[in-house]
Amino acid sequence: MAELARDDRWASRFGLIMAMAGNAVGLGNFLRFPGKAALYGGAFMVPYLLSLLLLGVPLMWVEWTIGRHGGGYGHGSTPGMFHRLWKHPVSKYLGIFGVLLPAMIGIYYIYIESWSLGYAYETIIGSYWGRTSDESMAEVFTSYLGLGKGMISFAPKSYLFFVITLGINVLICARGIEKGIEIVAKYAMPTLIIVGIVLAVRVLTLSPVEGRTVGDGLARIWMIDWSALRNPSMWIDAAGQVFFTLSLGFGMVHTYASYVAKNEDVTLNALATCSTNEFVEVILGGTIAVPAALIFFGSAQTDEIVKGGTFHIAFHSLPVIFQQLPAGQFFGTLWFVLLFLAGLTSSMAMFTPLLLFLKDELRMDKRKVIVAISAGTFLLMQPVVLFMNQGVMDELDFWAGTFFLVLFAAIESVIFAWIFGMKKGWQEMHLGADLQVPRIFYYIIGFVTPVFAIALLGWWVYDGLWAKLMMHGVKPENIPYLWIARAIIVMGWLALAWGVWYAWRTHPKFFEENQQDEPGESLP
Amino acid sequence: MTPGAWLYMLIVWAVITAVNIYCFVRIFSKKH
Repeated sequence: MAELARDDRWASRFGLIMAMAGNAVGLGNFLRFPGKAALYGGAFMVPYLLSLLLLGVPLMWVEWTIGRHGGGYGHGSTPGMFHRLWKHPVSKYLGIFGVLLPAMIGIYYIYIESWSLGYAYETIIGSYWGRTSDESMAEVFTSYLGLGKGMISFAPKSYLFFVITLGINVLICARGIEKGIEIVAKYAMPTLIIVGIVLAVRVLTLSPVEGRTVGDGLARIWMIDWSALRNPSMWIDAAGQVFFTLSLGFGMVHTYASYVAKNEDVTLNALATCSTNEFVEVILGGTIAVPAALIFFGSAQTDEIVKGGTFHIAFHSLPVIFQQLPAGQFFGTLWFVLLFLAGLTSSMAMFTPLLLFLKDELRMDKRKVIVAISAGTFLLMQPVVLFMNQGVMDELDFWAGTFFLVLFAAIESVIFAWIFGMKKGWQEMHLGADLQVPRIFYYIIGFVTPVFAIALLGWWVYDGLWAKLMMHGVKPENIPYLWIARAIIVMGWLALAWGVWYAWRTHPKFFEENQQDEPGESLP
Repeated sequence: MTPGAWLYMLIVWAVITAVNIYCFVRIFSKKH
């Protein structure tokens, strides 16, 4: 890889793609996707694949292009990148979302990731062996997180695994792109895929249980119920799933791509990122959890499991199944290692945009930034861990992990296609390209993708934003805790807004138009 | 599962696998 005028780089193209794919592959690939697909039946794949073509892949190309373009000017985060696309005072403030959201998501995502590590350990030592019903495993889960002990949720063991997981993430982030993220991704992603294949093959070779075969299990995801295509909720869920599974609107793709030199490909790399994620999601993710649950529990109970949410199937139901399999401890451990690796390859990048923003734009010392981010993250994670019963995590997930992601993606697609301009954008995208993107995507990125993203956002606003904002249905005693979650987001945004204002005021020359501004001529 | 559903699943799997193979063959066949 060619060197840039930056203090870090990708050492290899394979490492870059594995890191990008790892960023996309997360817990949702193995839990959320099969859950949604099973909920709607095989019809789900129709809007899913359509959304992938019209929203997912085009936005992936856009984010890689914005990242590389901004990186050419020395920007590793979206405030600077947006400033280079749109010379308007507001653009850099809109870019704040690309720094804020991954950090806010990291605050709760790392905690969930730590459960996988903890359960991998519990499976190895067999601590829950003998708990062979869904209900008893639910008790194990509640006890593991310390949820049943009054106002504060605390359990020493889960807290220990949370600290270990946070430490692993901080260590990787501190070692930077080449020596941290890339090395981990190069080993973790192939390992994850191999473990996923082993588990998928195990499920595909399961013997029938009470007459229920693996075909019955797969039918739940692949048998098309045509009448479901008339259900608007399915279309929204499918579009949302494509969005989240590719980690679009997070700001992390931009940061990774900022280390790609201007004469190096983004089009083929971005397509490889999407295809790797889809392999893991559709082929592996769709073959493990739901088919196994259907074979062992039957259709009616699987319905309940799927409706119970992603944690239910991962931490209650599958451990019950593993206990009934030969070598179940081995396969159970693999399952939780798989989830941990999927989580780690996503979470290890979540604080990188913030790190680069503080280091590049505010000229802060890297060591101090890492200490500050580690301490800040640890402190902000306390409400998530200790007040889980009161819904702090769910509140953060709705705003930072759902609504603002779609808002940010709608903003970036509009800035890229309508303000920066499709002609310049298309030219920028194809600099050093190894893949000529079919011309039809010029029009899709220019019109369909922004409209699709805005429509998705509009539907969510219409469908329940007001109720969520006004906390309808929330227990009165939980309301102060939800305000804690909202305060974290608002304070984070305000702090970053001050940082942007300060950076542009104190280092104006860095942001001036003192270099060539044509596409492809943006290296400092 | 009906034959049609098997076919549907296998076609989707084949397309995703083919795009993966296409991307990685092109990436690794390029001289750096």
